[in-house]
Amino acid sequence: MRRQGLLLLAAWLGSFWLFAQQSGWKHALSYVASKNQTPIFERNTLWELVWQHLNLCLFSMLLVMIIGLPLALFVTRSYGKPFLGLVSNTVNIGQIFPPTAVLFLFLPIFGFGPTAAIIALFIYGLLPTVRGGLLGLSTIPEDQSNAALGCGMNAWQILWRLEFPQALPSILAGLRTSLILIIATATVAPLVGTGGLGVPIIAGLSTNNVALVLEGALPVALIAVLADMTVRWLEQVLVRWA
Amino acid sequence: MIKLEHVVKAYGEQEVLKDISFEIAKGELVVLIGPSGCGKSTLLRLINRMIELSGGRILIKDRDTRTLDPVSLRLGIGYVIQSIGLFSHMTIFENVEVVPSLLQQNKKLRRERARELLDMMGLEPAQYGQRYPKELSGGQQQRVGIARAIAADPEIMLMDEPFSAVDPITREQLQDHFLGLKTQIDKTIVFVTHDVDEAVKLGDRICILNQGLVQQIDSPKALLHKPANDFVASFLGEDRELKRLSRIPVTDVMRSGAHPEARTIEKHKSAKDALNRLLAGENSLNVIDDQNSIIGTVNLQDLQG
Amino acid sequence: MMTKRFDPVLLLGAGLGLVASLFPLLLFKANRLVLGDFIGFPDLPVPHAYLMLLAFLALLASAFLPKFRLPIASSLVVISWLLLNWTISLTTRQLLADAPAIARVSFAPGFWLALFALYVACFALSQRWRWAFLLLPVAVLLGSWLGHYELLGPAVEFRSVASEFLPQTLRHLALSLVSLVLAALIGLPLGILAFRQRQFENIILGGAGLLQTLPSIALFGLLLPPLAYLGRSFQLSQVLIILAILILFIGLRWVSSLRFLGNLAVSGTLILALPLFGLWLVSLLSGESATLKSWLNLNSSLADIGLRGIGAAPVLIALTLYALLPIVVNTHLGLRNIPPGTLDAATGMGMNARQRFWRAEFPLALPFMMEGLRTALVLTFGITTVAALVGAGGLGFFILRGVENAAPDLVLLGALPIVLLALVLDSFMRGLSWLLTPKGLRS
Repeated sequence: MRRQGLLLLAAWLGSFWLFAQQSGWKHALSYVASKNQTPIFERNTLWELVWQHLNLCLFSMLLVMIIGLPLALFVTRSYGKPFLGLVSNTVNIGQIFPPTAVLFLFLPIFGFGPTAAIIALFIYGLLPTVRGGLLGLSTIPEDQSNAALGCGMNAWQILWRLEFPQALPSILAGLRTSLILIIATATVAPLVGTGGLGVPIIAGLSTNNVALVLEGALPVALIAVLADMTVRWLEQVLVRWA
Repeated sequence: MIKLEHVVKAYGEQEVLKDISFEIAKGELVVLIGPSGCGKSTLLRLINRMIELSGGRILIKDRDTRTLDPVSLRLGIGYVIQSIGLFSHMTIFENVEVVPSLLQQNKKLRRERARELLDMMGLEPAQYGQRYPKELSGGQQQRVGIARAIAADPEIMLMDEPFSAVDPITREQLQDHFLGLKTQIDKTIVFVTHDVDEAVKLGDRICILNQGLVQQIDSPKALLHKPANDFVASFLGEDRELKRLSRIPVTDVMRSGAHPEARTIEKHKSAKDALNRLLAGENSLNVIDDQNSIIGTVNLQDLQG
Repeated sequence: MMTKRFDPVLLLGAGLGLVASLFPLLLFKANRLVLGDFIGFPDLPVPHAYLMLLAFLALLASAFLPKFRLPIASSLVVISWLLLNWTISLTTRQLLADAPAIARVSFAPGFWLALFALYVACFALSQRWRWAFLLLPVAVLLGSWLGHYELLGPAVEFRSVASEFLPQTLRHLALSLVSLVLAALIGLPLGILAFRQRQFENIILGGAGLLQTLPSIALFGLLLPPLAYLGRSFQLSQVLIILAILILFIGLRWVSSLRFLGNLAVSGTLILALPLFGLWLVSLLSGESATLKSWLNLNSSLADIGLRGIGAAPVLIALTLYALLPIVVNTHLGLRNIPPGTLDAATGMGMNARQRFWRAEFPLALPFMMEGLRTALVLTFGITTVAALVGAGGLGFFILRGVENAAPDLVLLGALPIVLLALVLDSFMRGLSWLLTPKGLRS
């Protein structure tokens, strides 16, 4: 497991090294670009695009965690119980909403620009995380919560020593789904006025420039796969008992 | 140690327990038994306030439990349940150390204690301590469950059908082990079961509940010999005399002297074992001690007392 | 049951409604270029706006009613929503009365918040009375009639693109449904294979999972170069010849020593034939007569029949790949969840492998398979939104055009139907799955 972690770290570092090789990309992509087309996006370097993308995703993800996990926690406590039905119903219906459609649904409300994109990404990303949190926190094995109570744990100890660790697999699975969705949806976000790796893809698709499309598509695919593997690795490390 | 005074528990209109009063002395093991739905588990859970009383009161060391904080009350009471309820995300050591860690005891000391307890429960600490519960068999898990309950050395233990989820052979082993343990740990124990044999085997006193009322509370021998009413008699079964004999050591029924041609029976066997051998065709049996010397003799007449 | 002291969820809904009614409900734009003015509470017609506010306050108070809470609150929910829409329609007409034809009035954040408040309130009421949820569609329909939505931006935009709306909707449906069919044809057997042959389990499940993590437009991008190359370089006749040879080789399956080659030929045939079949089906469903005609001409290149770097081909392939995961995983799960005793019993009764599959395994795993198909359909329908980016059309077309023209109303015209249709498809698949579930398994 430690070896896997080191390999992942190496993969991340290697990818970032790769993203920094602006001239290398230009050279490689010129083979697929047709004549008199630019082989690489010129307004930003690939490195900048990657950081824009990651910024967008990580910021939305941070919001998701700050709001989503406490929300799931709140509605599974006795004082939040009245809202449990509302939240779980909303989350279930919300998952049927296509993420890209949601991205554009917020356009008329918040206008063009990064704010709209972040809010849309955040709201959609909220759904899997809240769902995972709800699932985990509401399916604590009854014998264990009985034993915890009988041991003399107070509510706070039950939360930290029993419920949170027991819910962790579901929470992490939810976070992973949220992260992957956000990375993917953020690729379309340039249409509502942000930067990121979607910029060269969309520019390339509209000018029929394969090189630009690949400049965005390859890194974003790499980042998505690595992110997925990283969270899966984290699940393995943190949940050794399951 | 524990005193129940006119305990009532009702769910809505339905009274599960109606007016229960009895007392449990220090160091005593009282078994609560009765048909399903008689309220025996409810009564147990009232003691550590897992559920709240509807009427009456429960005193522990002369203090009304309702005046105590439920959490600190439970910290002082060991609790073992049928479904075991080991924390699946904690190692065996961590499970055993839960209550000591809640009480913020020293880490080194509590690990030392956990080793000692696992050893006492017949589990090799070096082998099992770092494992997770799913890697243990049901019987082993329940041993850990008991170790967890006594880890902080509580004066009182509540055990809710602790041995009924395991197979008969393991159950017997656990019961024997527990009997041995009981003499070492000196605790006041309330034990719920639905198994009459288990109650007779383990209980200092047995409390038979039915329809929310105490039908009879007495020592196993007295109970089996003189059931208070028809319900108790039929609940204990037609073979209650046999059960009674199983609680009587053969040394209690033997006469002094020796029968010249008789075979021998060890002194720690029960009167029921002796009866079994006698019915199989022996006329009498000589009782021998650990040094194989005869200390008495027994025949069928002796058993009819 | 005693009525609780107050209903916190209803209170939340009413509170949100109250906040919403004080927020700008409408956005007025004299033309497309200006930022526009928000029209909020101070600008609304006088008695109506106060009545609306009063209705929301009454709803707020009704959450504390000890008696008759349900009927009173239900009526208040509808009344407050209708009053809100009445104010909207009056305001809209006022705004448009002396504005140029190019002026647009559209919904502002307050309206959407009010819609959400309506949902929350209806949900609160439905906890007490199941059918209260029907208040939501009833209120929305009545509101849209009373609110004269036909004067608002999205409706105006709709009229300008009305002739394209139905074809693009059908196109959207065709793309997602055809890829669902393809994914089912591949995914169901793969799921069964993953269950039966343990050595393939991890490869199949892991591969499908990996595909799912790729962002859709990145996958479109990655598919673009190879598909463009294939479309340019091959003719229909060549492909048909290869296909014919492969089909002949399938016969090797029945030669025991060459069975592997036969199976390879089966896979090759499927890999080649399925995308072509999908392309043909999409052009048939979206009525592209020119493309359909090319199928009859053996000399047409693959690009002529639709296999290009952009257009339907990359969308179909990407969607099929995305849809595989839920289908494969659920099929596998469904088969694994069958109690072993059931299968033993079936074997013991004297069923052969085929009978056992069709009479025991398949019906028992069917609910899971249907769940996989439902998830896959919702997924493909959603991803089709970005198909417009590679020129494949669909409802995303309006979104893209709205973005290009900086017309949020047009964007809404694409996004709203997608959401609504996704909800309809989801309930349709749920219903279908319920019908197909053996009676004894229905919950």
